Order: sequence, then C-alpha cells, then structure tokens
Amino acid sequence: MKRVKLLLIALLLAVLPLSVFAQTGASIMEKLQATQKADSSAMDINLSLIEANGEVRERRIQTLTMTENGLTSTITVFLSPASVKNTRFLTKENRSGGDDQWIFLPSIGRIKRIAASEGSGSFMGSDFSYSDMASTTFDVDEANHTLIGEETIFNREAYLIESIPITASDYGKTRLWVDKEHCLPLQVEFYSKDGKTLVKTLVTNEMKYVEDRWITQTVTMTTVATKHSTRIEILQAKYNIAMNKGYFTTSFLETGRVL
Amino acid sequence: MDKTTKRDLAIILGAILLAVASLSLMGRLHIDSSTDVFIPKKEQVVAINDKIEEEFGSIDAMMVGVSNPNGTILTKDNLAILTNLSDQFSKIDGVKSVVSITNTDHMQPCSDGFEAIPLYDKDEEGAIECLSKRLDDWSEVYEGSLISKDRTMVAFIIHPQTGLGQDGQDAILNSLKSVVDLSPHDSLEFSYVGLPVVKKQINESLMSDMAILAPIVGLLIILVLLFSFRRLAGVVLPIIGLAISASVTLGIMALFKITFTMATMLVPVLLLIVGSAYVIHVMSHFYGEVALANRALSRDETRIVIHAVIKRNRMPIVMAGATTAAGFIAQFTSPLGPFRTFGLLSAIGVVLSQLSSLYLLPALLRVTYRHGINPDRFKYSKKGTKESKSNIFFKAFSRIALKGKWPLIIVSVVLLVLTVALLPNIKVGTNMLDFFTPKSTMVQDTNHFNDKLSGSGILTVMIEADERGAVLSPTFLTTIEQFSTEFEAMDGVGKVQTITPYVKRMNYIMNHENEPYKQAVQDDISFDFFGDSFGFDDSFGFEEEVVEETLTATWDPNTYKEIPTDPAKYGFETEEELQNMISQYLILFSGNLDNFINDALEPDATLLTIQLKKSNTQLLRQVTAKINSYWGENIPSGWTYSVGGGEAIALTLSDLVTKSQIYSLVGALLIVWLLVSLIFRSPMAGLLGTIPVFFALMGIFIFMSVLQINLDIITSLLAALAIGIGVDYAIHFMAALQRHNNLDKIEESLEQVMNTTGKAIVINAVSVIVGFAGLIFSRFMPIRQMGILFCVSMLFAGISSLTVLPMATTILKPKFIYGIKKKENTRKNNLNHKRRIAP
Repeated sequence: MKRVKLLLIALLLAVLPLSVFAQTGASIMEKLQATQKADSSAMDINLSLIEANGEVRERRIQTLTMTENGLTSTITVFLSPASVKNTRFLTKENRSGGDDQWIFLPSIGRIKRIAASEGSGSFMGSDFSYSDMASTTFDVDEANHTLIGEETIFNREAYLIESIPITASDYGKTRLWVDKEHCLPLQVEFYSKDGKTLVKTLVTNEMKYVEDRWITQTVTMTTVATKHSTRIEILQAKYNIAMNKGYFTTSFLETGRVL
Repeated sequence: MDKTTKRDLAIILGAILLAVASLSLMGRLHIDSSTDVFIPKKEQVVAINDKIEEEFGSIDAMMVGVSNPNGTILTKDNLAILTNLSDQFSKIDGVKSVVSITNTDHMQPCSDGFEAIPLYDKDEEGAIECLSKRLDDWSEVYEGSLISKDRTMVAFIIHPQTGLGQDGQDAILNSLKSVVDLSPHDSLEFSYVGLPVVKKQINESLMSDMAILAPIVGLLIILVLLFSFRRLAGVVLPIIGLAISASVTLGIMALFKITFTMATMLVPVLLLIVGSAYVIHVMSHFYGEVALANRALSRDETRIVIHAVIKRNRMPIVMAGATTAAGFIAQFTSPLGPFRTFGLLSAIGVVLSQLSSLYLLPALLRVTYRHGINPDRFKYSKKGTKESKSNIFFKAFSRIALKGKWPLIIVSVVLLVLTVALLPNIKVGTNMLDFFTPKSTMVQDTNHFNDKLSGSGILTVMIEADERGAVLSPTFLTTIEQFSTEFEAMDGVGKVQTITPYVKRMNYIMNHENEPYKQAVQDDISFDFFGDSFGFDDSFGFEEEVVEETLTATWDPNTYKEIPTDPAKYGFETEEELQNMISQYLILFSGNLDNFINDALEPDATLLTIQLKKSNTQLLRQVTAKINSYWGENIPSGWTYSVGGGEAIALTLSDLVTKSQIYSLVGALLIVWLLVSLIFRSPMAGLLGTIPVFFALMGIFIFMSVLQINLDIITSLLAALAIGIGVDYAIHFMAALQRHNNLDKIEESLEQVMNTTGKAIVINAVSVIVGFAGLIFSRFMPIRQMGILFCVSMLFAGISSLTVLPMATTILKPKFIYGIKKKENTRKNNLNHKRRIAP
C-alpha cells in the first residue's frame, strides 16, 4: 500500500517536506534527502506501540523498495502479530502521480486490488498517520523551509528548520532539527493547523552506520494529547542492492516466486 | 469626634475595605458549569470514562445537524454547502476529526478487489444518484448517524482532540457557529447538539444568572425594605450590610480558589435573602422603639435605643443564624463535593450576615442618626385602621390554633398522607437538557436532532477480553450483533454503534466477486527477505513450492454479508482461523476503527456506543439494567464489561443526588432538633420545633410531585435549607410563648404573641418568599423551580408555625413553656427602658 511505502520513506528520512527549499533551509533539506537516497533497499522493521500506561504491542514488517525511472515500488510483508502474518502489500507508483496497490490476505488466499482514497487514520494503530507519511512527498512548491537557527539537541549540534506547507496539510507547521555531522533528523515537531499547538513529536533515539551510510535506526513518535507513542526500529537494512523487477508483481505477491 | 463614632467609622471603613478587596479578587473566580465537577473522582464511572477516552478517544463529540425544512437535503447546492462546511470545520483548531457524508469514504467491491471511494464525489457523473445509492447500499452505518432516513437532515460529527477542556471545546463551538454564519446556506437550518454544547450553554447561563439574579433579588429585598420602613436609611443601611457580607463570601471563594459551580453560584443570592431577615429584625425593632417616643430623640438617646435593640435581638439572631447555618452545614453529609462547599460557604456567609447585622448595621445606624432621630417623620408608625385590621388578622390565627384543633389535625394528616402517597412520584434525575425551558433553542435543536437522527445521548459499554485479538472471535461478534438488535428495538434507543457492520462489510467485499476457496491458493509460504531462502540478485524468489489446494463450498455473494462463523464455509477448520481472517480485514480499515476497537489488528477491548433519543433517568436505568442483564449472561469467562459515557455520569449523579438528599435531610433534622433542644433545654422543644419544618418539607414534596419537578443537583439542596430557615419561626414563636406564658390565660397570651412575634414571623416569611421569588428569573429551570418550592415551603412553615405549632403547645402544655416562671424582669426592663427614652 501507499501507506507502507510512505512509512518506509519516513523511516529512511523521518522528515517532512523535502522538495521545496527556501535558501539555507532548502540546501540543508536537499543534503538530507541526498544522504538518505537509495535506488533500492530491503528493511526489517519492528514497531512498538506504547500505550500511555506503558503497555506495549509489537508489530514486525519487512519491505523491499526499488526506484526506477523516478517511480517507486514497494512490497511489504507483515511478520507479526501472528493473526496477520504473511499479509502482503504491493504498491507501485504510477505516471499519473498516484499509486496502484494490491493486497494478499493469507486467509483469503488471493490477491485483491485496492483502490483507496487517502485517509487520515493511524498506520497500523501507530502514532504515524497516513498524513504523516504523505507529507514526506511534498513537491517543490508545497512547502517553505526556513533555517531559523542552530541549536544543541541531545548533546549534538543541529540546524533548526521550520517548514510551513503551502497547500493544506494536517499540520500547519513542522520544526526539524537536523544533525550537522550526519545530516540526519534528530527531532521533528508537528504542529496543529494553526501552527500553534504541538501535536506530535518524532525523536531519533539511535543513529547507526549501516553499509556505507548513517541511518536513523530507532525513532519514536509521540502523540502529545494521548501520550501514546510508537517506536520504530530498523532491525536489518540493505541499500542499493541488485533488485529483480519481478519481485514487484502481483504474481510474486501471491506465490513468492518470480515467473 | 467621640470614641463611639471613631469605633463606628473604623468598623464601617474596615467592612468597606474588606468588600472592595474581596471584589478585586473576583477575576480569580474559576467557573466550572459541568455536572462532571459534582461527581467524586473516586466514583467508578469516572475511571471508566477516563479509560474509554484513553483507549478510544474523546467521548464528548459535538454534532451539527443540518436540515432542509423544504425536503431532501441531497441537492447539488446543499451538498456544495455541506462540502464547504466540512472543509471549514476540519480546519478549526482543536478539531481532531469531522465526519459527514461529504468527507466519508465508502467501501465497496470493485472488479478485482475493493475500493474506498468518496461517499459523495461532486465530479462524478450522476453524483447525487451515486450518493443515494451508496447511502442505501450501507444504510446500516449511514442512516441515523450521518443522514436521516427521510434524507432531510445530515449530521456533522465533530470530535475534539482529547484533553482540550471546556475552554477549548467552547472555542471550537464558537468557530463552528462563525463558519456557519459566514457561509451562505440559503434556507438550511442548523442545530448544535451534544454534551459540549449543553455545557457551554450552561456556562453562559451561569454567567448570565450571576449578573441578573443578585440584582433582581437585591431589588426585591429593597422593595420589601421600602415597604416595611418607607425610609431611605431603612433601605440603604441594610443593603450595605447585605452587599458587604455577600461580597466577602465571594472574596473567600476567590481567595481559596473555590470553583464556582451551579451549587455555589446560589450562595450570594441565598445570603442576600437569609441575611435580609436579620437586618429586618434589627431595623424593625429600632424603628418600632423610636416610634414609641413622642418626641425627637437626641444622639445619646438614639444610641441607647440602638444598644437596647441589639441586646434584645442578639440571641434570636444568633439562634436563628445557628439553625440556618445548621441547614447549610447538613450539606457536609453529602457525597457531592460542590454541595459540601456550598454548605461551608453558606454557613460562613450566614455568620458574616449575623456579624453584619449585629455590628456593622448598628454602627451605620449610629453614624446615620448621629444628630438624633425624629419619630414624627415615620409614616409607617401611625396607628390606624390598617393596624386594627392586622390585629384582627393575627387574632384569627390564635382562634384557629385554639378552636380549630380537629380541622388542623385533619389537614395535617391529609397533607401527610398526600406527601407519603406522592413521594414515590418524584423523579430523580439530573438531565442537563432539562435545565433549560422546552422552548429554548438548544432543547428544540436537540429534540429535532433526536427525532430525525439516532440521538445525542450516549451510553457506552466497554468490553475487555483476557487476550489480544479475542474480541474478534466470531462467536463474540455474533453476541455483539445480537446485543445491537435487542437494544435498537428498545423505545428511546436510536442506534447501537459497534464494529460488526464493518466486519460484515469487509467480509462481503472480500468474498463478493468470485467463488472463493476453489482455486489454487498460496499456503503458508513465509516471506522473509533476510532469510536464507530468498535472494535479491537472482530471479528465483522463495524456494518453497506453491501448494495447490482446491476447496469446495456453496457460494452466493450475498451470504457473505455476515459475521463469518462457519469455518468450513471459508475453507477453515477452526474458529481461530476465522478470527485471523477478521484481523486481516482490519488492516484494510487503516486504523479508522479506533472508536470501536483499542488496537488496529489485535484488539482486546471493544466499545459499544448506545445512542439515546431521550435521556431521562427512567430510560437510563432501564437501559443500564438491560446491559447488566445481557452481559451478565453473555460475557465470556474472564472478560469484563463496564458502562460509561456522558449519560452514565448523569445516572451516577442522580443516585448521588438521592443519597445526598437523604443524608442532608436527616442530618439537618438531627442538627436542628439538637440545637432547638439545647436552646430550650428540652427534647420536647426540639420535637415541637420541627413542626413547621415538617410542613415545609411536605409542601416541597407535594409540589415537586404535582408540578413534576425533578429532584436534581439544585432542587436537592432545598430540603435541608428549608429545615434550617423554617425552624427559625418555631424558635421565635416558642421563645415568645415562653416569655408570655400563662396557663390560666392561654388565649390572652397567645394573642399577645401573635400580635408581636406572629407579625414578625409573617414579615420574615414574606421577605424570604419575595427574595426567593426572584429566582424565577434564572435561566435555569431547576433554579426557577427551587425559587417556587422555597416560596411554598416558607408559606407552609410560616402558616404552620402560627396554627399547628400553637395548637400543639396548647394541647401538650410542655414544661419548657408553661413550667417556668414568667420573666417579669424582662418586661419591667422593657418598660423602664421605654420610660427612660420616652418620659
């Protein structure tokens, strides 16, 4: 599904608007995007949904992503919980700017095409909403990024960038702290439509050097009002690997084999 | 300036400064109009609602109903307006979500899968026909919730973010109304309903009442004072005292950050009324004494009169104040916090009023009449036909008491029987909507909304399972479905919202298209992109073989509009496999079912929301009893259920109000009996003292039943207060009878008492009644009703203290009245005193 692809991007980037940049803010955002860029990747991800009372629910997914000719395809597999194990999504970006999506439900035993309009519910019950994911795909004209200062956060030097989407979004403003050394997001604050009330906070808990790059290995999104949070941890990751296009087909989604 | 004048000025200045300081603190007063504030935090329903909010989000939804009085709302123009409103509402700060027919996705099967498309898409061909078709297609979910069956009304359901508080919700409501006002909407009619709307209205009315009631009651008291004394000083001086004691009480509230609730808002008004009785006594005796003089009095003579009046009235005022305060203090027994606060504040206020009457008022009198006073200028003291008539009037009371023994007994018994018979008819309930008149916009809006849609009253049932995913068990979902069916058949219940329509819908969509389970299916291949069986750089994918499986099943797409319960029909062997399938369905809802389940994939708690078209206590009890009965029988072992929602709060409040009423009633009776017994040093006096009290209570309960006034958070304050105030008449009367006791000339002494104390009782009762009549100007129905009932109770207490009480004393001839020697000295003192100032 589009959601899953977007989640993946969020995991890679954990930032908001990337394409439109105002002067200095824009250059930092460009660098941040370049740091995270990969033509293909495989990821093994654990999601911990943490209730305000400390109760935790675990989800585990794996993803394959490939970008070819500017179009991204993603296959996502649920590994846990057991009731949804082996549920699989295929999302393919099309030329019209939308996504084609298919799902394989193991209990039904077949592929179903999904034609879903964008919603704003939470992703798998997590604190990441679809809109959170969607905002990572802002185009060049959709937001203004302004470098408003430099700060030390979590004992690291960071740029503070304020992003205000030009078109309507679920958030009126985001504030992003970008690590100066690795050019990775350290923290993102998401504000309400009027840009005044803090709604959610995304914090990078751990950065790690994997293969030839630094990644945000663990991030936590917290919803301020409910104190509910979701921690996402990349358990394994591979980048720029040789990827067979046949993986991104409904046939592979159904059978696990490339015809 | 002599020492007395200096002291008087110091008292006056001190009191005024205290009042000014108190008024300057007014800005710190915190107002909480909600009935939530009445519910003790330890009550189970509070914890349940907190948990529901934590698991399922805010339960305080606001609803905006939009109706077309001229027919269907589904026209192109109307839908354009609704679409615009939906967009505008979503942008309001603090709004978590807006649901309406113009922004909802409709799930339906498509050729090779399923699609979630806009329920209304203005750009598609035949948009309105498509919308109507979709509404019919899944009417189970849409009808009653988002659109009326006759298609003339739609609803916007607006969920605020959790933890916004009253101010945040009020701001949203104001914004909603502004958006509507600024949008062109032709002939469409709008109604705003839901708990936040009611709370806001209560808050506004509370502010309005604060601004209106005190001045109105003050004005009425001024009129009583004017009528009684016909002098500017007779009005201004008592009012200064009353205003200061009420202000200082408010200042205490502000200083100690005591929340201003619907109960405590009455304190200043009650103090004005109760306090007026004390000042009337003092002023009445003062002018009465002065009138006895046939010449102008000098400054010193005036001071002597004031001293004598205060000395004589100190004990009656202290005693009357003590019993009134006892009525207030009886509220300490209440389980409701604001009632206890009300009791404490009122008791403090009564003490302040007493102090004001006994110290500030004499100081004001001495300063005002610092040059002496001339009785010739008192028109009211002229004796004439009116006084003669009033003597005849009071003589009649003594005749009734002496000669009308049996009629009085019969009337008393009839009233008692009536009370006992009518008591069960009194309805207990605090429905916030009932606070407003049936003609008010909000009540009419709500009635219209409830009439067309599924109801704005909410009761919820939260069911918690003992393991994750268990609430998706087909057997349990069937139990929920049965619950919905049974409850939706109940009168007053509009709709039961649960997860089951969504499960059924997805089951149908997933199985509608082609005969399932007869083709090859992929079985149990474990995808693991990081495992040894998978390679990125070749074309082999996973190495496991595809297992071909062919299943047979009788297939008809419409039979899949169900909760899947038969494993064989779906190619399974166990119910657990069906449960897994339902869990997989949930993925497709993308977390949009968080109002029903506490986890997007494996919920272990589910919420059933019962929409009520009425919210009276009787229906709430009926529904709650049925919920307990149903889930008592059907809840799986080890699971729990709990009832919450806004209406559960109302029901708990009703129970607490009943408890509070009983406790405070018994508490007030006991305290008053004890006090009167102590004052007269006789338990019999205590019993006789409760005669007017019992009559006041009978009056209250009979009228509550006849006028169908609910026992609610306001009216339940009444009985204990009526006891505290009503007993004063008995104390005054018995004390007077004690002074004038003469067993040989009972009739004569009774007439004497009637002409003096009887008259004072009547003036006192009238002033209190007039004061309480001011409450009928409140915007709250219970406060108006309280005003009416108070008038009735004071009337009953006043009349009974001048008829039944003297009759009882005549029959019983109690020792505490007739067993003690006459206090000749008192009379002599009085005569000497009169001679001293009026030779």
